[in-house]
Amino acid sequence: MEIDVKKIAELAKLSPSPQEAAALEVHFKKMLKYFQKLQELDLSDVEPLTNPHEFALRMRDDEPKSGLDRESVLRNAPDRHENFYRVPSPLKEVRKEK
Amino acid sequence: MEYEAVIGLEIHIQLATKTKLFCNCRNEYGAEPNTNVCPVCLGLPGALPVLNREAVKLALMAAMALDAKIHRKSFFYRKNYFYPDLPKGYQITQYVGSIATDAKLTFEIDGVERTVRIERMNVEEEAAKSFHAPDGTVLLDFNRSGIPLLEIVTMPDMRSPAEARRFLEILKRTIRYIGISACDMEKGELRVDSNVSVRPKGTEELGVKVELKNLNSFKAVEDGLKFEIQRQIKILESGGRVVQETRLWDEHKKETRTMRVKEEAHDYRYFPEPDLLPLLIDDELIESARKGMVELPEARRKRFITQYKLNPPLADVMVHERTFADYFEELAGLVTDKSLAANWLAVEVMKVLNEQGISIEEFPLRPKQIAELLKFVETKKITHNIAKKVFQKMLDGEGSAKEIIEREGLITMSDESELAKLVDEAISANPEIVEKYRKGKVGVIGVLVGYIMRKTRGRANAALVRKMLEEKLKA
Repeated sequence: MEIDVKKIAELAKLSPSPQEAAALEVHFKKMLKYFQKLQELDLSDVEPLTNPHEFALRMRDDEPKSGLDRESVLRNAPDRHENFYRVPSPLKEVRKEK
Repeated sequence: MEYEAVIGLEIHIQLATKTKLFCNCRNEYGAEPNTNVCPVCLGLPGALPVLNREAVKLALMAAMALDAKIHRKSFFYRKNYFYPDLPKGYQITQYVGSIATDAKLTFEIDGVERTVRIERMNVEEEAAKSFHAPDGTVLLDFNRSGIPLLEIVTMPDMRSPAEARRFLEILKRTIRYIGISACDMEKGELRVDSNVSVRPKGTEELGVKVELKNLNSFKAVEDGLKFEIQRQIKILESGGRVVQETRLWDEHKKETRTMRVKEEAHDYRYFPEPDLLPLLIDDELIESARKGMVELPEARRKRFITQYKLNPPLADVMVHERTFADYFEELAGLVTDKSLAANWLAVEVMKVLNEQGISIEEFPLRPKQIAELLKFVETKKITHNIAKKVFQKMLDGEGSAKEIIEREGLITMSDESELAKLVDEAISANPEIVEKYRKGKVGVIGVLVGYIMRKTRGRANAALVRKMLEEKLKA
């Protein structure tokens, strides 16, 4: 199976060095090979399993509770404008990368 | 060559719960920025989602209203992408295993019944609201982050922009009837994306589709699709090929243009959300959703046509809002002439609602008061025009219909001896009109009727006056 480390890194917003990328490729291939063992089984009659637990999801009632205080929330923001978080434009970032 | 458009829609509806989908923060429009936030909807490390039962119930109601197959077991997935409005780096949504599939919506357009199939309905969380500042930075309000959304994906069953618009109007009406969302597009409570392609008419193979975004009103949906369809036809006719891409509708320039985003961004790498177990829907939840259901607008429209003998366009106006239809039914129960009642609501009452920008619940007159007025019209005690004037006085708070009519002496003059005097007067005062009439210009009789109506301030029975004038002039 082919692995495009560059693409995976881009999707994760990471920029590994060529050496790191090469090491990751070896690592990813090992993992995939391990999981590919499952392909040896005939699972045509088995329903896909999305979760190993078969009990029902617990739900909560629709009752409002106050959350965090705004000032303590925005204190974690690297940058703010009035009561908003301020971040660089995601579109600008795309243009730069091009 | 003649072309045909193939249109599919993807609709997002904010569900009117009190709290968000996975946390207890308020689901509230217009609150001060970043006040309804907590570790879950801010995506802080270690926070865990707990599903809101009410959101599931509302989604089930939508599924029932759209005749869907409800899946007693469904799953949540992570849709992974980086964007400032998505604090966790993934959106919790449904992917394989939707809560409901195989739905449909049937509606009429130009008197023809159409059914649009709905492929799937998903429960998912909303992203934060972002504002683009003039300096190019983005401002974020996480109050919207985590609000429950219902995603509705149709099959490519629509063939014209008008049909897509009609589908949306009927969908909105249906959703508002069951009360699970106000669907106010200006507030973003209902949002629409569209897929559109064209193909030579009569062929089966689908053309290359374009995803159309930024359709912020029903008019934008219709205009955007119209433009995009013409654009694609022009390309094909000049021998070119349509490129599969996402385009934005520009409301001001009235055109669609390519959206500048990186192609790789579309690899969402869905995987099952490990923080949520499979969603199992029990009988109790189904039952609570069923209890919330009401008669749906299409069914009600058809019933109004048979039960009250309304013509189809009038029935359509009566059911446009549930509360309006309720008002009509209450009024219809109090009067004999149901079409008169419907017409009065469609014309006179609607005019007031539109002028004042209010809903029928805010309208000051109750069905009982309107019924009192309409009974005078039904029994021909007052004319339609007088009724309009009385209606205005009722709105101005000058009393009930009966009080105003009696106080101002507005009962129609149908007494023939009294009217005969006026007929004679009209004839002697307008000799030249009488001359024209006798020479064959029978249309001028309207001038004589008008003369009498002015003299009586509109109270004369116009039909009777006309008849008496005709008899007198022919004699």
